[in-house]
Amino acid sequence: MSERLLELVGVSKTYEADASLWARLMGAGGAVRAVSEVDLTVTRGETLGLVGESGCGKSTLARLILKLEEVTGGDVIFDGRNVTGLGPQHLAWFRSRVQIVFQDPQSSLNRSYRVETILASALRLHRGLKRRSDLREAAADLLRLVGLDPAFLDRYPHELSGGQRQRVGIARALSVEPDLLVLDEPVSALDVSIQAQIVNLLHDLQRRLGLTYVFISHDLNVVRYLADRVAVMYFGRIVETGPVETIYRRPRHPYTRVLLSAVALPDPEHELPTETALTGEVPSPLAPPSGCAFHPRCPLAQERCRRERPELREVGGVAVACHLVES
Amino acid sequence: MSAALLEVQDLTITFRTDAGTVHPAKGVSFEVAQGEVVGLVGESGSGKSMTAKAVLGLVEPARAVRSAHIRYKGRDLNRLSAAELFQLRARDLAMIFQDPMGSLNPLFTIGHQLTRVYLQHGPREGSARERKRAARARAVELLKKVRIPDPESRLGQYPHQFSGGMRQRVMIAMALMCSPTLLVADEPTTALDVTVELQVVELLKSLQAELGMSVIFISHNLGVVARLCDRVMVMYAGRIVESGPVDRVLVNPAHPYTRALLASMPRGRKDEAPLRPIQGEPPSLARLAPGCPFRPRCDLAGAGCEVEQKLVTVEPRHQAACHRVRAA
Repeated sequence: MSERLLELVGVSKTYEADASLWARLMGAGGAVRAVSEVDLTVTRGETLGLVGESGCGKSTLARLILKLEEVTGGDVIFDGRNVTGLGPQHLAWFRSRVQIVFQDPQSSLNRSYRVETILASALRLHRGLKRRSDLREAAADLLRLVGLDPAFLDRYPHELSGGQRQRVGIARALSVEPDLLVLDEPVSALDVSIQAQIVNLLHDLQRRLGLTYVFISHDLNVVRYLADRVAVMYFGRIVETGPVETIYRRPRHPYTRVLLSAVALPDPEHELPTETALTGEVPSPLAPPSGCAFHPRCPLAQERCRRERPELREVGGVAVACHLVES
Repeated sequence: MSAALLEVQDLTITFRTDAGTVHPAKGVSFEVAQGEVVGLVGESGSGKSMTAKAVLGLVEPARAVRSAHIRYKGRDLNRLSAAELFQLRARDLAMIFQDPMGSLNPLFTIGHQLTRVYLQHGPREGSARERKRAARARAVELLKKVRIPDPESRLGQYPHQFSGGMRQRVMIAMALMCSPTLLVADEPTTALDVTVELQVVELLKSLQAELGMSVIFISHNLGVVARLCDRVMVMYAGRIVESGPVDRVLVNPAHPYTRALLASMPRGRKDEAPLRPIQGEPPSLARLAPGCPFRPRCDLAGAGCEVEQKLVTVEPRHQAACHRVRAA
């Protein structure tokens, strides 16, 4: 057992924008780098929050961790084992240890199966259960684990509320007794009162089962609540990473500062951000900016930022990729 | 703030569905003053969008809407003909929706869609050519106002050439083409990223201050409401359960639902401020038990709650519909 459960070393993912023969012959194809040279370590038992706005690459990174997509550069090391080129014969092993919970349980649960069938297929594959009664008993246990009555085994997904469906989604992910759960916006589609139930459930499950989480969210309040460490992504790269409280108390990267100042708390006396609202939009991945990808929107950008891309470096207990942050 | 611009009294919407009769809004009464920004908050299915749509006469079929009256500048909207209501929309009452892609026609340029509003609802003086020119000038002016760079050339572009935040700005520009006095914004920032959401909220805030219009801002995000609104109304199961100034309702909530909602929002670390979720699920409108609709999920529920409470004043301008709150 390695303390470092998951390590990403220089992980990149490039998509061909237009892979047609004609485009390639004309040299017009162009490549889109969704994720660039990401280094990340997730320690056993911790929660890593992955935050950033739409299109920053956080969901692509999740898919790379899960091997739903193959990396085009770098290595994914899981529990001390390089899983980058893992063949199909070992995939079952990997899948039984790393699972995902999706944002929208409506579309990630098969609507024509009862909850029991949904849970039983994973139990049969990964835990080798064969007898119907054993499968049903194990599925009932899973429902109890996520706070649902076993009577829900006989329901179809459409008969459940959003919160109940997400509980089933979590139960399915837990059916193989994984070590690592990738949670891709698991509460974003839910109502506020239900969000809190699911957040508490996730926290409780982590404590009881010793799970490790990669928690992807655009809701920075939820990330602060759940995560131990956080990684902020912008335009396919990690721009700042470190302990969640250190970063929330003193964000160093200009983008993190803007992102955190945009968080709205339900408190009229909450002091309004000193940081001005960001101007402009996320750049097009087909025309990446030179130097630091954030420079066209950065209030502090200087000549150097346009020329030279900043590397992540250690500053006061966090790693930050910005030329202007003083050591 | 002067007298009420909009006055809604005892609004009830009734739909007959296969599951039974439902009331997306029941006995809803409120006022919006000139220049006031009112937040309408609640979870999915609480009736906030339906209430707002009823104000604009957008609920189909119209006979589903029953109310004592909906008065706008003293005129009862229920008594207006379809033609009169058409005249009132855009010029007096305008609305923006959550999903700008769904509200913009992908087949027409932004310029076409913006000027069309003005040509249909705007001033009628002058020749067709003059009016067209005026509409175009107005469109450019508004795109500038919502801070879209290079508005002249943007007019010739199609919705897909705009990003999500830009599209929502175009929707705001479109709603403001005829200088409405009341803008209904239905979750206009929900589909946007936080930094873009902040931009749009700040934009709405400055436009509201500049133009002096009233805004009904529908949202499930209490944080955004705190930033933008003067007053907030909290809806649950088709009722307004609490209403008051933002700095009172969010700081000193009176209704157990509002209190529970605020307690279920994370504001720090799990060890500092543990979340207290609301038990159970939002009720199905078709199977609502008699009495207070929040009763099955309420910690304070007890004797008396099987009879529904009307809004009572708990402090000046602050009301809540609960037996357990002490009237002022």
